[in-house]
This record gives sequence, structure tokens and C-alpha cells, in this order.
Amino acid sequence: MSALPFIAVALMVAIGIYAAVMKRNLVKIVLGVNIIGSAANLFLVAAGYREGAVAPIFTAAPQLQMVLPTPQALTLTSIVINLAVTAMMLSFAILIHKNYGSADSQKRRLLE
Amino acid sequence: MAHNRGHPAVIDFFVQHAPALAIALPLLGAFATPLVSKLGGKARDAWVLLILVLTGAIVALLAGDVLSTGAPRAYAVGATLPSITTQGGLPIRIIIEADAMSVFMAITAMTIALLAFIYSLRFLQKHKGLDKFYTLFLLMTAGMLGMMLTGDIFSLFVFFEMLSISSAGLIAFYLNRGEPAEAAFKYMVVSAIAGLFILFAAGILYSQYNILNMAGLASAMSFSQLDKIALVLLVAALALKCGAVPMHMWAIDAYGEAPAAISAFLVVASQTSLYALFRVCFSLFGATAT
Repeated sequence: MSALPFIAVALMVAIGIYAAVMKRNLVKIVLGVNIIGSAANLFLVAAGYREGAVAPIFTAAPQLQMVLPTPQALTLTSIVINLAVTAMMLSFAILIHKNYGSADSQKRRLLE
Repeated sequence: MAHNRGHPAVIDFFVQHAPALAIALPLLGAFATPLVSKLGGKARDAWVLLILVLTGAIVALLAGDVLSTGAPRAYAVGATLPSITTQGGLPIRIIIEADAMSVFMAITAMTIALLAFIYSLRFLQKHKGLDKFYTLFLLMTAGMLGMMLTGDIFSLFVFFEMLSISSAGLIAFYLNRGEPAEAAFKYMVVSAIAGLFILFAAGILYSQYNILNMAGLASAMSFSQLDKIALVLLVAALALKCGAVPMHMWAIDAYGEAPAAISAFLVVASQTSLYALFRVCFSLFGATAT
């Protein structure tokens, strides 16, 4: 069915928000945000798809009907931004682990 | 007080390209700051002061131009003729739009940036790692000015993420304690989710109208069911970043654990997303009093 990518996007956003909100380990929270980012990328690429069209490359194209290229440019930008965001959050998680002694978000004990 | 007729040609060049220069100068300064700080602390301070003063002057020139003519200015980035922004009725290229509210916010942001910088010269005098601090500070300024001057909903997302990543790095400046890192982690998770909601809304609007430009979307907008979903996502995302009441838990820790100069600048970051909320509700979706 043609709506399958969008159903997958909705499921991934639900799983990502569940992981970011309900999990206690910091790395699992970071993974939840990363899953939401992947869902956004899938949404953008799937929104540009057209039935029976080929990749938007002009050289030796088998036909002139192509998928939309602009969402693919948006997805590239989004991938780079999500990389920077994940790196930032993971470095904060490492700092928290070094100072608090654990990566659990409920433990407030500081090492002496 | 209309005295733009007597300008020499050099000022005309700066006034014409002011919207792009206002974003490009802090960006260039941010990437050059680690190199300049190899020459010593005083060189780094002088370089950051120079960049901020030049950006302030360009924002003031832009404000003078927009407020004297009274009309918003559209500027196409990277074009030989920057004022050509439509082709056959469709908006083309990435467009920077400066109207009266944008330049008001930009003047406020540059004033607070200068004051925060001058305060941090003395306040953080004894800390190490100040070259990274000033790099992130200039990146935050660039992201803030980009968010205020943009006319494009995807550029809004890009500058939004630039602002949130650099301000999260600045909140975690004190590395010897655990609380700033925890505050910055909370801020980063909330900002990342907000940015991804903005991206979803931009994708929904693009897939309906094939336009990313805010003015083009406003004229093509028919308030369908998908547009209502996009509006809800945008309002939720920008309210998350403002620190509005259901989603304010990050603000307590972030404002408390940041260095004092950055606390002042973080308020401007929250007001920038409030400005973006105004822009989305009133310019993009065309809300009126009726």
C-alpha cells in the first residue's frame, strides 16, 4: 500500500517520543531523539516520491518523470544537523557520567 | 531625517547587502576565532569586539534603511541582482526578509550581545577555554540574527538548530561541576525535539504547496486539515523553545547553571523563538483580528 512509509514515520515518532520521555538511562534518551530524527528524514524523502518515477539524475535518464529532488536536499541538511545534535547530547552524557558517577537520570548522588 | 540621498557609494554597497552581511559576519568571525586566539587573549578579545561592532553597525544601517522607507525588504542570497526574488509569480532562491519587526528584534539582539560580551570580558577573565566560549558566542549571534531575518521556513529550522546547539554548549561551560552538564543535556533534548517538529511542519507544508518561502506560502495557503496539523506542530515546537508553561522545566536549570553573561543572552534566544511564533501565526498563517 502506498501509505506504508507514512505509517512507519508515525510509528517511529511514537517509539522515539516514548524512549525520550519514559526511559531513565541517558543514552536511551539520546537514541529516542535520534529515532525521531530518522523518522523526519524518512518523512521528507517519502513525501517527494512519485509512482513509477526514477531518481532525479538527468544523465542517461531512462525517462523524464522523476521524484522531487528538493526534499532530498532537505534530508541531507537534516542528517548533518542531527549528527551534530547527537554528538552534543552524547558529550553531555559523558560529562554527566563523569561527574555524577552513573548515567541514570534519577540518581542525584555526586562523587566526593 | 531622510538622509540616504547623501551617502557615498561604499555605504550604499553595505546598505544593499546588509541582510546577508549581518548573518555572514558573525559566522566568519566565529570560524576565525580559534585561529586568532592562538595569538593571545588580547587579540581574541579585540577580534570578537570588532566582529560584534561591525555586525551592530550593519544591523543599524539595515534598520535605518527599512524604517525610513517603511517597506519590508526582500534579499535573495548569493544572486548577482539580489532584489529579483520572483520569476513568473513563483518565489525563487533563498530569500532573507527584513521588515520593521525583524530589525527591531535584530537591534535588541545586537545590543544584548555587545553588553553580554563586555560583561564576560571581566567575569570570565580567569577561566581557560575562552576561545571556544567566544566561538560558540559568535555562532549563537549568527544563529539568532539568521532566525530573525529569514524569510524561508527551512532556513528557520537550520538557524533554530544552530542557535540551540551553540547555546547548549555555552550553558555547559563550567566543566568542573555536574549540574551545568545536566542542565545543558535537558536543554539540548528539548531543543532537538522542537527542531524536529519544525522540520515535520516544513515537510508537510512543502509537500502540499511546493513552496518553502514564507511569503509564498502565505499567499498560497488554504487552511486545510494538513495545514492545521502543521500549525499545531509549529506552535508546539516554538513554545517548547520559549519556555512556555507546560514545557518550562528546562528553563529553570538552564538559566541557573549558565554563566551570567550567557543567562542574559539566553533570554534573547527565547524571545527569538517568540518572534518566530509571531511570524508563523501572523505572516505565514495570516491570523487577523476577525
